[in-house]
Amino acid sequence: MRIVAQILRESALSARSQPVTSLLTVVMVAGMCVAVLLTTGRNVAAETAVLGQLDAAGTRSIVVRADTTANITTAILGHLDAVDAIDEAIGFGPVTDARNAAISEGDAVPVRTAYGRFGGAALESGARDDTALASTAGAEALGLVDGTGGIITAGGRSLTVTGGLAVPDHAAFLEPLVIVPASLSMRGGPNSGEPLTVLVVLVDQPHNVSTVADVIMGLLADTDPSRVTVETSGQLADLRAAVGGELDTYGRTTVLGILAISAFLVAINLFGLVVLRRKDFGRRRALGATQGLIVVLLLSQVWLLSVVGATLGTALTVVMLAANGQESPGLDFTLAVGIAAVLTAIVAALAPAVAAACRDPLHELRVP
Amino acid sequence: MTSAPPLSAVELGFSYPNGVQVITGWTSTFPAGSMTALTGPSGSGKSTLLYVLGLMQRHQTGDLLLHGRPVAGLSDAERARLRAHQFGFVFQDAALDPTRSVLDNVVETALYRRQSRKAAVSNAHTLLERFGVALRASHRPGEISGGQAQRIALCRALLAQPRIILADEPTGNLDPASRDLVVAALRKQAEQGSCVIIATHDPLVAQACHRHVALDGQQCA
Repeated sequence: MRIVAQILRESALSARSQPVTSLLTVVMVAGMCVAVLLTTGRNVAAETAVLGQLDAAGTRSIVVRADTTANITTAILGHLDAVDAIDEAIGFGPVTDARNAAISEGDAVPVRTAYGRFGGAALESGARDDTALASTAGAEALGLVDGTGGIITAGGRSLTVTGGLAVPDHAAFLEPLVIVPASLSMRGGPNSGEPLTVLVVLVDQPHNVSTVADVIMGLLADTDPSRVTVETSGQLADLRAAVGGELDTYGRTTVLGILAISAFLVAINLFGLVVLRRKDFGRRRALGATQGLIVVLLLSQVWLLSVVGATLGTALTVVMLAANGQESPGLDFTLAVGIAAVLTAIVAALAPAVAAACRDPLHELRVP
Repeated sequence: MTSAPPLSAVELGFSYPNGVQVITGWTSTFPAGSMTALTGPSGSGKSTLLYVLGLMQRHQTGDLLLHGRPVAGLSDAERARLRAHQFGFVFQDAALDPTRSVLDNVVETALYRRQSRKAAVSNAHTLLERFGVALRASHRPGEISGGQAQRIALCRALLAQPRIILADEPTGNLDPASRDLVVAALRKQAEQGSCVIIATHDPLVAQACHRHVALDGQQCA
């Protein structure tokens, strides 16, 4: 431990005693971080935004529509529960029109019984079986002033809308939406055979859509195909993969290019240092420094300087982006760039460090 | 039973990679407590011999024995560690790091010996005091005279109380007073049991030594 502290101390003192080389190294590493974050970092932010928009368009969803005679029931939700690649699945029963109980001539809005997970949460039945939830659009269509109130179905069943419902993008096609939530515990129980007319499945990753679609098709194998339609977002998923791939390739190429140029500049700068201070390295060798120690001293010196450079570079870029109101590439990417910059500088310092360690004391110390 | 001398050479031979033979079949023993002057004209191989004896260059033929043990088969790292622990070096131009303080220069070798810096700094202050340059501890080498620089180089060489001290023209750039001080310090070190070898052109320095080895012409023989 003491030797590590001594090496770091010696490296820090050496860095301080060579201000021009040290400053150049810090500036180069900082510049590396700024260049990567301002080019690829902004690409990452743009990529995240583009892919986010594609995802919002439903790249991960599968929609199954069936008529009431197709005999698709809530039992299918039990099977889908066992599929790891599914984030959530919700089934909707047959539609019944409903109107505001207080407005006899109000617009009719479809009401569905809903089973499963919706918007990341499991649906639970209300305390009574006449409880309903309405989306903002659903409540407006029903004329519910504060989003709650009584409604009545075409069959004369009275329901009470007790609260709002956030409709995720992949279920937006069901708007205006009013549901009667049915508890998950109903599945496998006495009501497990409740009919479904719409099944919405959200897959965890776009590239898993086709696999999950195949699973669903398998579960529907006994169903009359003319009574069921399955809509997948396969094309959107393909588009997402293509867009993501193109942006990744461009970003990777840019990052590698910047790192390579920076590494070259750092190496040139350090080779300059080794040439200028060859007598210093020769003296160290003569006085008993091993070649390994000289390599470690130079690398730790570069490590210290590159940590300073990476910290300054990333901090400066984040401040610049924030000041201009531009999106930051994110903490993970920023940290990764900083670490990559430090590693690049250390790798670039290897050859100069070895050159320094190989200085011949006889050649360097003899006075002509 | 007598202990092996700190340094001895048997039929030592060395040539540069370009083929120039500098040392041929050279045999000598450097006992503990002795101060030896290596003299000879320029190009006779004094400095080269000193660097070979100091394990900075590898001899090609013969044997070099450190405390009776041959060093020919040692790795570069082992030779470096021996230099750090067993040898003290004084170079013609002091060879101080101009970017570091006098104190940092003196304690530089502590890192190579993995010695505590605190202990090294304490020893360094004692040595700087002894050689009259304690007030210069925080100065840079550029701010001191040549004589003071050589005394500081001597402090660096003596920091670890080495068994062998090699000095290459240590008084070459010094005024008589500084020269006398450096020579006296080296002689005192020899009297305390170290083996001191000095390559020099200065007859006064050679006279101050216990032994005198003359190298002739193109080869030391």
